[in-house]
Amino acid sequence: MPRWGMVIDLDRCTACGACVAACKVENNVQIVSPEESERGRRMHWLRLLAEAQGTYPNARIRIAPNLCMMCDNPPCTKVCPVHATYLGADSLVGQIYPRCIGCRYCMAACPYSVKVFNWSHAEPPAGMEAIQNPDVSMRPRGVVEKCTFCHHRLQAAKENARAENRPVREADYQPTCIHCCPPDAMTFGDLDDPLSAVSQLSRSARATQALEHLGTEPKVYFLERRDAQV
Amino acid sequence: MTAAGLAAAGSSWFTNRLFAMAQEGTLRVPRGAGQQRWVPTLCRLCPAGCGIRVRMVDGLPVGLEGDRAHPVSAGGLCPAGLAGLQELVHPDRLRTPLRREGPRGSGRWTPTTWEHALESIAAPLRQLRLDGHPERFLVLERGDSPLTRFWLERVMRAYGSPNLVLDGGHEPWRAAWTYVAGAAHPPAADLVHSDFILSFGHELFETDGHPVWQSKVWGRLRAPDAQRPAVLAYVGPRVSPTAARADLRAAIPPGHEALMALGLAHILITENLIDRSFLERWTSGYHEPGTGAGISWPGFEGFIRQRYAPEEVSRRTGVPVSEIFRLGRAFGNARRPIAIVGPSPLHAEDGLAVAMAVVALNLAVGSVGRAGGYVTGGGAPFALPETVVADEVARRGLASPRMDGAGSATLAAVAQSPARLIANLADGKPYPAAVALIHGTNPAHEWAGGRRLGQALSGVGTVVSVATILDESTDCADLVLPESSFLESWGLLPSPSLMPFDYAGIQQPAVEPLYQSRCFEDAWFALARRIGGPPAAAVPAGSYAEWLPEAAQGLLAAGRGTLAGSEFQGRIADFMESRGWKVAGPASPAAFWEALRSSGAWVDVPRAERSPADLLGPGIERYRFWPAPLLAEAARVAGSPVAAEAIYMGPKAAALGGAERDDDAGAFPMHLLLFDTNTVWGGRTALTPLMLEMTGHREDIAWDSWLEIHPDTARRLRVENGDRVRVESAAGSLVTRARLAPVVPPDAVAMLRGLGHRRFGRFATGIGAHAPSLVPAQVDVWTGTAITTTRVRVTPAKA
Amino acid sequence: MHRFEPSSTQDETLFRPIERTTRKFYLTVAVLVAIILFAVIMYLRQMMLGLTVTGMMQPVTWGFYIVNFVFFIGISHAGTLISAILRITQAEWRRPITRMAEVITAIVLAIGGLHPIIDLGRPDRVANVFLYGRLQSPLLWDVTSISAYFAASTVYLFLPLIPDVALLRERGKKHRWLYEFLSWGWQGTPQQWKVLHRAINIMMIVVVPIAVSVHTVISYIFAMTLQSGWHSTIFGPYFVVGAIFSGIAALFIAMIAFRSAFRLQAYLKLVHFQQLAKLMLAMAVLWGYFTFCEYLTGFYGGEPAEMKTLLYKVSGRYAPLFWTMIVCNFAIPVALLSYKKFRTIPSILISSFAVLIGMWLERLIIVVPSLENPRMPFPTHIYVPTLTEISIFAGGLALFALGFIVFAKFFPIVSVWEIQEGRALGKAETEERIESYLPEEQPSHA
Repeated sequence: MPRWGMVIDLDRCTACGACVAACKVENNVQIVSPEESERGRRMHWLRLLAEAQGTYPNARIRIAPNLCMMCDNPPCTKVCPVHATYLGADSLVGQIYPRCIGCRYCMAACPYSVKVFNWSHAEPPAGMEAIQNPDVSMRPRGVVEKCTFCHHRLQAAKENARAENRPVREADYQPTCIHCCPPDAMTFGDLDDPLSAVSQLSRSARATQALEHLGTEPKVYFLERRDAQV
Repeated sequence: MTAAGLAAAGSSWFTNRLFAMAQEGTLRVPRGAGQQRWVPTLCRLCPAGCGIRVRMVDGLPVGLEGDRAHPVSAGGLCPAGLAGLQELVHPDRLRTPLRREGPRGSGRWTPTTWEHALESIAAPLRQLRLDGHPERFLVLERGDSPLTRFWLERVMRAYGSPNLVLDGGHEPWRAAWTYVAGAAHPPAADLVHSDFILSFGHELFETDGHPVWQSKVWGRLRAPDAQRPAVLAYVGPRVSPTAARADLRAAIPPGHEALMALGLAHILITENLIDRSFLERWTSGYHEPGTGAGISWPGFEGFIRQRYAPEEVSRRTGVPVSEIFRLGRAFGNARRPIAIVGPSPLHAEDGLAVAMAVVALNLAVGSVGRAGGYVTGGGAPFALPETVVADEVARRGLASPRMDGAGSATLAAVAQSPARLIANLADGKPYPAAVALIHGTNPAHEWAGGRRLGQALSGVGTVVSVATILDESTDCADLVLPESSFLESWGLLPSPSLMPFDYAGIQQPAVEPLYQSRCFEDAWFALARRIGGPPAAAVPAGSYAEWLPEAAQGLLAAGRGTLAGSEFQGRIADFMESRGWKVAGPASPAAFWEALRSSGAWVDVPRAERSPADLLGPGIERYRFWPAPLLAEAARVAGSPVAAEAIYMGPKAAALGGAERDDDAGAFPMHLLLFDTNTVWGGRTALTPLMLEMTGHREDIAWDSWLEIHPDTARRLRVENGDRVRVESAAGSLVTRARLAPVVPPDAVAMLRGLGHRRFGRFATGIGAHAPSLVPAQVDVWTGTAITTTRVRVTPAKA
Repeated sequence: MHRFEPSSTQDETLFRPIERTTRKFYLTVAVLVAIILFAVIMYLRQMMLGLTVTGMMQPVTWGFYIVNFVFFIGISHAGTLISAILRITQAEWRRPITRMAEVITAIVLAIGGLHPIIDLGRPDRVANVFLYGRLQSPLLWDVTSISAYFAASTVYLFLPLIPDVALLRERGKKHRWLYEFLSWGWQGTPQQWKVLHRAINIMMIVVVPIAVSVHTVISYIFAMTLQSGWHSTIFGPYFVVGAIFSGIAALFIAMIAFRSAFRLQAYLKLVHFQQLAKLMLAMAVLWGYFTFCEYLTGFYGGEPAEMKTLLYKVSGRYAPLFWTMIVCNFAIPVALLSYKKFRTIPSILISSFAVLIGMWLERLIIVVPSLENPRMPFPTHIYVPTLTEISIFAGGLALFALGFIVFAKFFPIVSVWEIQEGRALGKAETEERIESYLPEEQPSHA
């Protein structure tokens, strides 16, 4: 089975936020009210986290996407009391919304802070119920959710492959953030296929993982910025 | 009610709520068989027109993503575009034409019919022509869509009014190229072949130019396997996201872009990094001094050597000399450098000087008329009707000066001066307007001084606004016509002229109009037909959608270019054409139109060698460092002789002999920098809840505006991150939240444009603060552009 | 060797609170019920609206409910643990204290055990814990451990209660049917006494490891994650020590309250407080030692994520609370309880309140600052509890007090038969024991 992974090239990333918006739209992630937003309850499966070091004018500003790292040794699945978050055979860390009891232990355990909680029930904004993506279930209040690498797209790819009586190929499936990234900074595919772009990039000299030292074995790699040769 | 009864009622209420809770999370939209189809179209929320595909399931639009096959955007899309469906189904969209009830601005409307609305506009327009004053018809338009603009100009010409005021252009840049090269349109920047991009406040990846295309180019220039990745350098006061991404940064105080550009030219000259052969063969005024139009000018080289030594530039900008050298050398040593400038520096004082300085910098390295530099902008060879012949009444009207003073109160090459319009309208100068039509732009919200639009229009008899939703500008109108969403409309978008290739994208509706709206072009045709006479003859008989296939025939007739397809198809077609084969395409016009509809775009990348001659206008043989027409015009507009150096230094600085202007700090010690984000886009896309939530998604700020302030300054003012602050200028004041970040100099603050709507649908109204209120209505004398820089004072605001 | 029969006619003082109900009782109960009702309404409101009514947010996803969960479970330790340990070591001064201690445990475990459910986003899905439970998760260890502890402590409360219930039954003044039922046909035969003592002995030994496991396992909820400030090996013993510490403080407050309300000065004498206070002093010092180890280790290592959280607690936003905790948990008890002269009941009362406040702060300081300092540059928010959380906390405390008061209304709050046993057998048994310590009689060489 493919081991799905992602490489994000921070040299190409312009921090435009298209991935953030695309993810919200594709996965029916709730838009919370301004008051809830002010209280820290915004829901993003994918965020841009900015870190500024130094002072003006020489401040170094690093803005990088933060999403579920789909760890191969996930700290969140270890602590879930009801097997609502789990590392599936398809190498994705899944989330079973009907089973989640909302204890938020996985949120406390995730060192990347990528899990999001439904603090209340929010309907889509007025008039916008009809444009929700029918492939992705809406989550009720009180459950935890997170990036699923657009698992519904993997499902669709598997169905197509089954209909055509062949295995799923790398090119069949791509999360929406990869698709809409304007500078093509995100690459996705099978990390176990030595010929795939994502596998080769993940072994490049510039490749790092977030919080590598924790041993979570994330499947999301970052290629650090290059210095200009001037 | 007995206690038992109460308990029963309470418990059943409680149980009902529990059941409701259990049913949350189900999609309550009726589902059909799940039939899916994809509609390729264009996003029209900004002038770029990225290719998108709308996913329709059982007739409902449920998804929107970039179109991978699109030759320009290739699947990329900005956050605002991704929220496009929310605009389509926005609950406050206009559904019918509206007629004002009560005084203007009262916000009371009654629905009316299209017939009645159009007649109410056409009647005074007919009368105007009968009275012999067609010039009193004013149209305010964004100008995003060239074909729409074509029809606007055509009807205005047939009608007899010169007053089509477009607010989307960058006049200083256009004017600079017009004078330097005699070009009618500004050239395109061929970034994809460049190896060093020097940006003067151009937010490549945010909102300037075509951000998605520029990002695609960037992705290619910085591919992991690129041997020598291209370099991005940024010159500007604020560390914008583009600046944060740049490899080299020069932090200059606001308003010093021209100085820095010419300082870099100095490095090029002294380090012998100029393109000598280009300067010898293709420019005039570089070496020798000269005279023209009664004004004498120095040689450009001497001018730079004398005044722009790095020590002087460093003293005035605060950038260390070593960094100026480093930047200049890097720029000069690059094989295909290009310098670009964004709208913000052009909207400062002396915007023309900034434009001229950047053009001169490009000339110095010969980045004109070659790959990686400035090249002819693209277009599309649409089959357009012949230019309409104006009748007597129309000719007299067209001869009148424009209401916005463009070309008369400004340099002749300036075509649009919306900044002056509101003041002129209020004064009734040069003549009053009788009918005004506003479309595609929200001047009351977006223009500095826009708050006075209502008052300025009080003397105008009929004001019409064509919009998708009630906004601040519709408040000033008598009639509001509902405009269809871009997802409900047809269109063809030719390459915005900053693309270095020919291209045409097709916009086709994903859904039938949900309400009684019409696309603007159809409304315009209907109006023209109602006016009758020459305007009616100038428009096609049918709808805009029926005319578009005719226009598209020009693409087929041109015999070149390909329809968008997969990258593989594109490369095969390229390969074969480069070998002289003609790739078989659709033969008949009908088949071509169908193929265009299903592929989404037509593109033709020029194969001919570029040449500097490409950009020169008729009769012009060389690029002029000191264009005589410009000098003459400058003197005319100023009303007195002007030193030649003024075109690079700005008139005031030149008058002071090049000395630093007296910056009157006084009561308002801080510079205010305004910026746009690619979420709310200056206000236009603040409509949707997703964009309002993502307003400051990189800064963890949502549903609110903010003021960027240097941490030391904040400490001195006793302001902490997130505190509310009062920002006051000579023009107005507002309260917003502070964001402490090392992205602005200690003596400047930056605020985003786009929020502070007083009327823009239920989600955006009342959110954030209105930054343009702080900017007094100032107009640059030469170019007629709005000057958007000002000074402010910041104090903590008690909650 | 139980040649002793408890008498239902002695020790009237201990029976009086059960048989006479004052107006003060009704008033107190009314106030407590009002507080509890308000908390219940706030919780129902939370069920209607979701956890948005709390002050929790991203990244602080655990707040008051988890803090109070740990706090209440912590208090439960003193109960059974103290009573068990004192029984094992045969400390005679335990006799008036054991009942109160056992009651604390039983009540507070139930309240504490409710808190994670109050904290759940989907309390309607609690059954999933049993249907799909994963034993690899520390939360499941918690469920197991607390259930076991609750069962054990209830049994351990009930067993020594039987003879007292029988006495009440003999007195026949009130609720005879209840005492008939609960006494299980206790007649006080030597055989029954033998069985009872053996059962109590078994329970007092069994309960100790269960009790230790409970708070260790609660600490594992934090220690088994990778959060800075949580991933510490010392958490197990640290939490157990802290739990015993806070439990003794709660026990003291209960003792002082009932002593004054029921006029039990003859039974709960100064010496009892002083003996227990020595234990609390030992716990204070032990707690101080663990705290010092914990923070010195973090500080010395200097690992960035750890330091960020540590400095946030020690000198950052949480500094006032942190240093208050140190003063309350260490400085005050050590100052007031070290010298015998200062070991008075008022000073013990002050120390106990200080310790309870300090231990509650310790839970808060463990849970929230680590969450407010995520490893990634995540924009952080400050946790501020809302009225819902505060009122549910108040409701928990009120329920605790109410449980105690209701228990004391039906059962003697001081174990009558153990007092009488002490009077009858205590001296003799103690003398025997001391005899056995003394050196053997040497055979005289005559």
